[in-house]
Order: sequence, then C-alpha cells, then structure tokens
Amino acid sequence: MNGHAAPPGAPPGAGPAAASASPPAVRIRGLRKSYRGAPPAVDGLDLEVPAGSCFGLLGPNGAGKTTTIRVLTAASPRDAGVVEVLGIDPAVDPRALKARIGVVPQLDNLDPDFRVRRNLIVYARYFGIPAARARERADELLRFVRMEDRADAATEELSGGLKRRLVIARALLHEPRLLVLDEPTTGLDPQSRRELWERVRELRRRGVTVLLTTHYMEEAEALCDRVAIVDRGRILVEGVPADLVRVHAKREVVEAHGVPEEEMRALAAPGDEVESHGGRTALYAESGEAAYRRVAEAHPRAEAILRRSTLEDVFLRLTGRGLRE
Amino acid sequence: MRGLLGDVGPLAFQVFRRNLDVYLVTWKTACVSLVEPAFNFLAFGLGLGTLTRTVEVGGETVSYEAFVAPGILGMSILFQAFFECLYGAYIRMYYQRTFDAITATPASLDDVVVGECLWGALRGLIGCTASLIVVMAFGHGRTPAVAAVPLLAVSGGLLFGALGLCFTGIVKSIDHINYPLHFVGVPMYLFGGLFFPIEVMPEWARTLAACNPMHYLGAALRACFAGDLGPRVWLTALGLLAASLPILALAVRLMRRRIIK
Repeated sequence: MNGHAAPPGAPPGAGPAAASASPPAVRIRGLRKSYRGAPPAVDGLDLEVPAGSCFGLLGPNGAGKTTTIRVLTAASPRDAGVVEVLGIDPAVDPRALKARIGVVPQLDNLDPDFRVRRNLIVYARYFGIPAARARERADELLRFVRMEDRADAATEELSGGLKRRLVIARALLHEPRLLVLDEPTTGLDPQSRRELWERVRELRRRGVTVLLTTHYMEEAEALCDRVAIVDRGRILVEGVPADLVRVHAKREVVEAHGVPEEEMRALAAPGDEVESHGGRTALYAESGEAAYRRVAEAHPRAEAILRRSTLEDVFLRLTGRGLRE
Repeated sequence: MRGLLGDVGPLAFQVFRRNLDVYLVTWKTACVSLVEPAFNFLAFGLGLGTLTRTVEVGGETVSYEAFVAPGILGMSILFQAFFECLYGAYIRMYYQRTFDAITATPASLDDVVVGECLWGALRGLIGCTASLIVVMAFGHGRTPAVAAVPLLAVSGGLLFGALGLCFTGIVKSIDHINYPLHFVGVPMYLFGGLFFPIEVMPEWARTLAACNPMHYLGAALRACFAGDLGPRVWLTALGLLAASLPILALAVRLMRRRIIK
C-alpha cells in the first residue's frame, strides 16, 4: 500500500483483467424507491457493475440516476429490492460500506473555512485515519490531482475544476475500492473535464471500480467500459458503448434540419431507420453515403450532414421523445 | 450502539472537533460575539442598576448589579448554544452541505446531530466563561463556588443546543429561524428571572416560568455567586442534563426526517 508515492491503493494485480472472475462491485435487483407523494423514482431497476470496471449510468433528468446512487451509497433507504455493494447491503451495515467506498456528490461540499490540505486532513478523521498517515495521504492525493502547489490555498477561492479535483482527492483518502461520482464534470470547462477524465482512467488502471453518472455522452464513451441507460426508474439498455451504438444506432447517421420525418423516410433504403427529435431528423444506416446524397439533393437547404453514430444517438433514440420535465 | 440517541458512536466527537477547528480558524470573528456579555453587563448592571439600586431575592436584599451578574452568564449560555445549534447548524446543513459530506463517511447522521449538540454546549461554556471574566472584573462572583459554573454552563448548553437542533430539523428556511429565536429563545431569557426576580410577575407568569429551564439555571448560577454550593446547584446540573437527553433524541428524529429521504 505504501509502495508507490502517488495515489489510491488497490492490491497490485487487481486491474481490469483480474476483474472478470471476482464478484460484481455493485449488484442491484428489482430496486424500487419512491419519495413521499411522488411517482416512483426508481421502479424495478437491475444493475450489475463488474469489479475493476468503469461504469456509466446515463439517463435524462429525473430518470432515477441520483436516487440509485443515493441508495447504493447508503444515503437513502430503499422500498424494495436487493442491493449489494462490495458484498455489503447498505441498509444492513452502512458504516462498513461507507468505510470502503468513496463518494463524489453532484454539488461540492468542501469545508469553506479550511484551506485545501486541511480539508483532507479533517475529513480523514471520519475514516479513523491517524493524523500522521492523514498528512501523508493528503500530500499524496494533492499530487495525484495535481494540486500540490495549492495545498495552502483558500478553498473558497478555487475554481470549479479545482474544487471538483479536491472533492475527488477527499473521496480517495481511505483508499476505497469503489468510487462513485454523481455528474462529476457538470459545469466544468473542457480542459478541466479532460484532466478529470485522466484521473478517473488512472484510478481504473489501479483497479478501483468507478461508477459515474453523466449527461455527456462523449464522456461516457471516453471513460466507460460499460454503460446503462436509465429512464423512468428502469434500465433500458446496458452494455459496451460501441455495441450499444451498433445495435441501436447503426453505423452512420444522416442528419438534416427541417426535413419532415415522412420525406426522410421516402429517401431511406430498406433497413435504414428514421427518427426526429426537435427539428432535427436523423436517418440511421449501416452505410449512409447513398442516403446522404439523396437527402442533400432533395433538400439542399436542410444542411444535411453524414457522420458516425454515437452513444448520443442511442440515448436520444431510447429516451428522447420530446423535452423532459 | 442503538439507544435513545439513535445510531451514535465515537465519530460524534469528530463532528464536534471539526466545528471546534473551524472556530479556532475563525477565532477573530468568533471573539466578536464575546464582546456581547460585556455590553450586556454595562447596560443592565451599570445602566439599569442606577435606577433600580437594590433587589429583594430569597428574602435578602442585594444590589441590582450583583443580582444581574449571574444573569448575564445565563444569557450567554442560552444564546451561544441555542444560536449555534440553530443558525450555525442550519448553515452547515443547508448552505455548506457539511452534513452530506460527513454522512458520506462512516459517520451517521445521528453522530452529526449529537456532535453538533456537544459543540453547542462548548459554545455555551465559552460564552459563559467570557461573561464570568467580565463580571468578575467588576467584582462579582469572586467566590470559590463559581468553580461549579462551568458544569452548569455545559449542562445548560446541551439542553439549549438540543432545543436549537430540534428547530433546525423543522424550520422551512433560514428566514423561519426568526420564529424559534424570538418566540422561544428570547422569552426564555427575558422571563427566566435573569433580569428581575420572577416573584414580581403575576401568578400565571410564575407558573409558566416553572417550565422554563432558564429559570432553574439562573437560580443555580445565582446560588454559585452567593457562595452556596448546596444541592440546588448539583440538582439543577443533573436536571438540565437529564432533560437534554430526550430533547436531543427528538432532535435526532426530526433531523432524520428532514435529511434522510
């Protein structure tokens, strides 16, 4: 554990390769949860997060992502279902579970009255880390999130990206085997986002299981080994991002604006699929070249484009029937 | 450990310690609140005291200044503990999301509530000690019996802190904190026999005062100042301590209902 100076520890050799044999880090069966006087937030959700993987939970606002995260991090009780996180039922032994997982919440909750390094040292006490070890860990983790030169900075004066990195460092103090991040990059600029992705990749390389929620599909594609798309409290699809794209959004997309769905359909070849979302009509095809030419010819002012299908297409196809909420 | 106070363990102490550390970081601004007892004593003791030279209490006639000196202590205990656990805890809970941060660790919400209450009690003790220094500078309470004052400050602080946390668990917004502050906090000290003997009030008000913990705390502080370390002091400390337990247990339940969704 003390072998390498940098970041969080996991037993050596517990990388992704060794993961497939071990039991899943998170196992959820038939999870149900509703808040007083509201329709169920989670309504029969099944989820399995393989140990050592980076797993993305995607879904529109109000789909039940945060509720699921709250239940599995022992922040909320559940109404029904089986939940096991690192083999522990959060409802049975929340303290033991919380000693083994790291949580990065949607909203930063650092101590504004403490300076950067002090935030880590004080937080380490809740995990029973002795003071000397806490100081060591704080310095290791500040190096890990590349904030060693900010150790004495006032927490309140940090930028959004730096605050986020500090929250992540804080979640790693006790060397958790599972790190849960709820929308970790919402509101960050592209540089900060990429820096954060790099930290997440590094953690995964070290064998830490990562479970994150995000609204950014390119983030999920860049980071996650597997993703699940949640809507109305259930999992719609789950799998490797590239596989989901192949199955649900073909290989290529012709996208045009202001072309009615029926007219687009008339230009499609057999096997192609057409759908429109808010003014944008998409034609999904294994090979879109020919369809693209037909659309561009028939609708020269529709600014048609041809591109590779992405996870965002899958997301919109599965969840995107108009605006939410 | 699942008892009266819920799932409380040693981590409650770390919550207390975190608040103490913040206090020590921000001690300069925190010290400003300690100037208050000095102003209170100047206004009530030296100002009002020139109009009302003597007070009859328990069959004895004392100077008003001597009468009000222990009252200043009672007021500090109430205000420091109640305000900290009401306004301070609300800010930590709602604006700083400190409770969320702490409950993401092995600490439970019950640990947080109990830790907050312990911290409120220490704030009561700090305020009381500052007041004691002020009134001692003016020649009051110079008797060995004031050694029992810290005990009263802590037990009173626990009670007022627990009461503050109950309201933190139910107030709708930070603006609504004015209700418990003015309808509970202020009458508790104004009609707690700190500034005038409760005996001068009509019958019904005296009956009401019998339910006011400040009434007992004030009387016990007054006994200490009179050099009387009799059973009144010990029984009051014990009584306040005993009363704070169910109130803290209620605070734990109210806070759970508010936070755990």
